[in-house]
Amino acid sequence: MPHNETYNDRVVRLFLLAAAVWGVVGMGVGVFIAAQLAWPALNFDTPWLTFSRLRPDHTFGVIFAFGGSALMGTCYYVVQRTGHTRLALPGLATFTFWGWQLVCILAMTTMPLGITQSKEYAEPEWLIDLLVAAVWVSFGVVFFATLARRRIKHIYVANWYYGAFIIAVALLHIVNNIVIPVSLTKSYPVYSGTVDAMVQWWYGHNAVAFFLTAGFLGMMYYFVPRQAQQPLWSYRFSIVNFWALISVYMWAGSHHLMYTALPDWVQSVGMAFSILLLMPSWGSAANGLLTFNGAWKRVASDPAAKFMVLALVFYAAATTEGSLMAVKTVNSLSHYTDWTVAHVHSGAIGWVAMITIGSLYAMAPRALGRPAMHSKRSMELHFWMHTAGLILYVASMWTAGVTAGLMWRATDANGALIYPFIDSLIAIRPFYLIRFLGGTLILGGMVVMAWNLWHTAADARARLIKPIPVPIPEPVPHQVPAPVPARA
Amino acid sequence: MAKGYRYFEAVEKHAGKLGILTAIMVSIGGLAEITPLFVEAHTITATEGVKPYDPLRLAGKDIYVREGCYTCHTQMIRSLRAETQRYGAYSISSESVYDRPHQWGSKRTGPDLARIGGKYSDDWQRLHLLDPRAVVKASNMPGYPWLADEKIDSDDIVARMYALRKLGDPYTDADMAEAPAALEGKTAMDALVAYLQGLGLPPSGEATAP
Amino acid sequence: MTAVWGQVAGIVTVMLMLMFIGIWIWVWHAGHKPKYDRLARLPMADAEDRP
Repeated sequence: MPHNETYNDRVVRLFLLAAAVWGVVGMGVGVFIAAQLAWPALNFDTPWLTFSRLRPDHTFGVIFAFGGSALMGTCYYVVQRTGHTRLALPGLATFTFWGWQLVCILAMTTMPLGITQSKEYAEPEWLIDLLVAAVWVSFGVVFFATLARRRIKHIYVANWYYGAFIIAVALLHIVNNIVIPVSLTKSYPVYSGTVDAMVQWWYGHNAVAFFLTAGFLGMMYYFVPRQAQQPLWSYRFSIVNFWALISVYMWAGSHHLMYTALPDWVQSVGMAFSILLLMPSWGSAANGLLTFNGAWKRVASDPAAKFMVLALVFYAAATTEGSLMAVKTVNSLSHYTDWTVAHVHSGAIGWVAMITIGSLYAMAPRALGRPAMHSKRSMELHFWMHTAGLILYVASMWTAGVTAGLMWRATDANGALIYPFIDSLIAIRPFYLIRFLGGTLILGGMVVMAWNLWHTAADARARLIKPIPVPIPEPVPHQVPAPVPARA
Repeated sequence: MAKGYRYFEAVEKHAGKLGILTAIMVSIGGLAEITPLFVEAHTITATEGVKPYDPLRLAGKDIYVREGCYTCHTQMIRSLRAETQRYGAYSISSESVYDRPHQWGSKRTGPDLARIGGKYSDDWQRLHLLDPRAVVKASNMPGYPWLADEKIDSDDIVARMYALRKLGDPYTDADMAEAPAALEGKTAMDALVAYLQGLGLPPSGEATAP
Repeated sequence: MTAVWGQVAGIVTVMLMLMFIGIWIWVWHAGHKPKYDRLARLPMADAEDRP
């Protein structure tokens, strides 16, 4: 029985393209709103161009549109390769692509029009939330159905992380968005006040845990060994880290609500588990970094690997900082300031964006039927633009945050506050300018990547790509799962 | 190499088990922290005198939510000396029982607003929303001039009050009946200023003692 | 937090701890090594020079 099963890379290519486009759009909005904080005239007194309405567009654009597209695309790629099987339910997989793009377009056009729940990182209104749920469940069905027809007995660890990411995000999204609709464009959450705050930050924190960490760790556990051309430093360690990470993370959400009206014991539990989180976080980072051990020469000449190494360094740094900021004493200074913004971005631009870019550079040539990316020099350029922008961004916002935090609490010899609030804003305005410059560099790098991908995709655009056969060395009669025919 | 290719027939079971175990592990933390809050939520009733938002303030609160003010302003005074000195008594749970969603926020590009009510005049608030730099020269807040031209739709607000009543907010039939009159001729600006001026104050209009 | 809830939290914490130690022992069990070594090589199978 001849086998002619091939990998379904078409949907992977679509997500790859979407990730590149949304990366530029999401970060473009980010640069614009950063400019608005430095030069408020850029709000133009126009409702849909106003900072407070555009800021959710930036967060949604980079987290869910850019990050989401990259995660779904790499997930489909990885689950096929590590299972030696073609993606199950191709029609549903294509639906997840178009459905997700529709979600992103709807969310990003309605939020500036004022159709928003104003729940941080869950702003889109109830109709869009329903569509998100439908697409997400379909994504889960495709993923688990593909796992079910895999030919490798054991499930590779990257898929564990992708699986946890899919399950947990579904749970978070649904619980946090239970509302009573008033009209097509307005709803009220069933939770109020303190309970709503706890549910919201349980969601907000674990969106970071499972969307921005578990999902991207799945990416890391596949693409880092692949790029290093060496097996994981310790496969066993990655399994221990998996269970530790998923069981500890969910407890830590209350560290976003220190010294607030939330009951004190919940705050303390959040702080304790945040410190515990150091273990699985460092474990994963160390496992990834040590995988490059002995291949450092290759890293020096491979920009994709460089992105991955720096991503892991920033993952370790950002999680350390996060646990530190969850300590009540530190939190009393850092919270509500730009220190939080610095922390989020060292995680988002450092860890999430860099592991994504590294993985996209690793995956794109294979998925696009080319031996390598179109231009290696532009990959190098992208790496240095991104790194420089990241350092400018994080350093400026960290300084701004500490400055403002110290000014808010400064008292004179009589115990009276020294600075009116506006003085702290005046003090940090120069740092808003530096942040804008850093952001511009990062956005420029993303444009370079989009250009590079466009040229790498020349064959794909001309529809010249030959599908890659699934490696099944000894097809046997009545094999489970049966090979599916390749599509022309 | 071929040894790795044992076709595994009962795989679905295996993937399913992994999925279920994962779901259990991720649920424990959330359940442990949120369930007791639900139980306690029944014991946190509004402090005496804290009533649900009157129609105008409700409209104003929803404008605050719509415009995304939480991106730069918090409504949560932490129990720290520097905070109570600057903003007043620390916030307590019972003060936000009618906030759906809560507006505690996470970032202060501008100051906390939990007790902003009555600190400035209505005119100052209005002018500041129209053009922040007319009153605070160094401010980087956007202007919201369109609010002054936007009429409040009273049918919409009454529908919102009904929805809130379904969720347990104690609006009476009389409250619904009086709402259109209270909203007659009001703009979004009037509503937002009314909301801001009520923040941190009991309905009688007197400031809470710190 | 009520007293009962405190007891439950304590028991859950101990169980999680035991589970965690159990996972370490299970994973480091010598019999699992060849399987894991084979799995860890999976990502390298997807390269141009290895069809």
